[in-house]
Amino acid sequence: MEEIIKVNKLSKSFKSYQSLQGKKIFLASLRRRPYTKKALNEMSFKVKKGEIVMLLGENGSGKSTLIKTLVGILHPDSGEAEVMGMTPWKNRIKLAWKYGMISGAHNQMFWNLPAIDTFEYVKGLYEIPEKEYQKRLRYFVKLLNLEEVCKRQVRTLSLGERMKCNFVSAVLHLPEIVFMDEATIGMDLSSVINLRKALLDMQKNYNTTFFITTHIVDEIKALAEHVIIIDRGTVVFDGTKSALQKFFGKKKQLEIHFGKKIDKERYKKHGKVVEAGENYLKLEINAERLKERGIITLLNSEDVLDYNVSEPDLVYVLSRFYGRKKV
Amino acid sequence: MDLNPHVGRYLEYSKMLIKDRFVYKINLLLMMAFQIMSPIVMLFVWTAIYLASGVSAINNFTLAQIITYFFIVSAMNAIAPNTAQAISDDIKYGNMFGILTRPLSYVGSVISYAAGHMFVDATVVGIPIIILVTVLMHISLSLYTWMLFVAAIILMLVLSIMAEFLIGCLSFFFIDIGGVATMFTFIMQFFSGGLIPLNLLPHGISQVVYALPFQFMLYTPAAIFTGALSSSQAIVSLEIGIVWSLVFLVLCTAMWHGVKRHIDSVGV
Repeated sequence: MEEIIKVNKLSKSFKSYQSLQGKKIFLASLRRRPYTKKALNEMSFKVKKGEIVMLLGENGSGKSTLIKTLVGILHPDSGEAEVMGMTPWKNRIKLAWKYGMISGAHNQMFWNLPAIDTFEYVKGLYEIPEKEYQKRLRYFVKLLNLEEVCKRQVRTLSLGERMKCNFVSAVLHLPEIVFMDEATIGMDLSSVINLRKALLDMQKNYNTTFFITTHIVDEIKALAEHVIIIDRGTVVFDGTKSALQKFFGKKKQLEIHFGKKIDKERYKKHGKVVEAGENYLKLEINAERLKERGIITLLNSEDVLDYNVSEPDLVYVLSRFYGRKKV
Repeated sequence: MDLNPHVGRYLEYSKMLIKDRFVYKINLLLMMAFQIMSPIVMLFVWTAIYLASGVSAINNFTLAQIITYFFIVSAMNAIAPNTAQAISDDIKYGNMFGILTRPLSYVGSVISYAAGHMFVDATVVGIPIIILVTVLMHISLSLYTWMLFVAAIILMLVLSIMAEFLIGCLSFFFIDIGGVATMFTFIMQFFSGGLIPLNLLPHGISQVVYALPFQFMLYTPAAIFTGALSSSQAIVSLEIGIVWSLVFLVLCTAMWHGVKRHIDSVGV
């Protein structure tokens, strides 16, 4: 499959100032210390056309900086990047014809006008034929329940409604890549589900690539094919979602439901207690230990009503991943 | 009309800004009222000055010419775009992100913004004031003078956009340029003849003022309209103004190349 994004040893630092605390308000505003933050640190990865990529990482790990660099707004200090065969910061305008961008942190609509005006503007800007525009608009407006919403002034919309409109305005021209930086922030559940449907439809029908940052684990579970985890500007994991879940490889999760109250201390010898309730226990356990006599005896005891062995939960995997060094 | 696609996409942006400008109609009406009230205040001040001095003309400027002058100044003030504040807002409130993620150049979007606002302000305020003063003051200009007047307005707009762009770009360094913009407005109003017609300034000061580019931003069009500048003087003035436009173009280009590197640090 064709590689649509190639990033090689990309680095980017920001110079800024830290305000210093002072007793006097006036002096506090004058006292500040310069500092340099390394947002991207020799980052490298590749994305294939048509993939849904989830870029994960803690706050301040460099996700937004990476996306802004990939869309050509920011210039890196060193390294290379190619998006759809172009160097983003050298071909920003040419590239902008071919991608869509939605950011949870920025309003991209005309604030004082109804959202439908921004959609009309997008039609004119990208020269979308009227018939095609109407067809796409009907699809997205119906899917995201925007029939009434899009007639209202953007400034009067709720955050979730605004994000839905932002999404429509970013994809009406059917871009080859859609960058979504925490784009589902504030959306209600049914809209999130419908948005996922729209993403999968676009991927299926137009082979659209999605490059998504999110902290919502359900979204990762539902959509991720390719997962990239970054920490302090460095890629610490780059692979498929199942590879991520299997990363702790030999670890399994054993959930046990008991018919009586339990003392979790008694079970620590079998593995790490991840969660415990009055009659419930979740253990992280090495796969080979499942065959040990002690575990088999425990699972077959009369006190156990039910049990389940599974791959480690994604939330748990991610929480273990954040803050790790490159693997 | 089959427009160049590059122009077309900026026209789309201008169209949206025109729509946006008409959303708050009361604000537009109040702006219109202010631009009419401002020369009326000047009318009272200058009537008092003429009555006290007991002369019919000061430096060959009659009271009727002074009144006409300030109405035209007011129309020019209304039409001149406030792009410095718009650039500052783009940086302060992160609006620049929405522009840079579309196939638009930032400089092009600033010009589109200025064009959109100029269109509305000229239609709603500027042109009605010019028509009003032409009718009320029984102004009768030759076609040639009208053409010189229109040329002076175009020059005024070009220079104003570029001057505002230079001030607005300071936002890349200081983020909030409210103080700088206020100071610039005051300096511009004084040196461009917004407060006193430049031909009424003492000789020494006027020599300095005529050496600066500000005169083209208010005085030149108003002086052509009132007859304070003859046709031949107007032509010379416009030629100097064009040279100043080229100087401003070089300054703006240099400034933009300088500030582009700062887009990162302003939190786009």
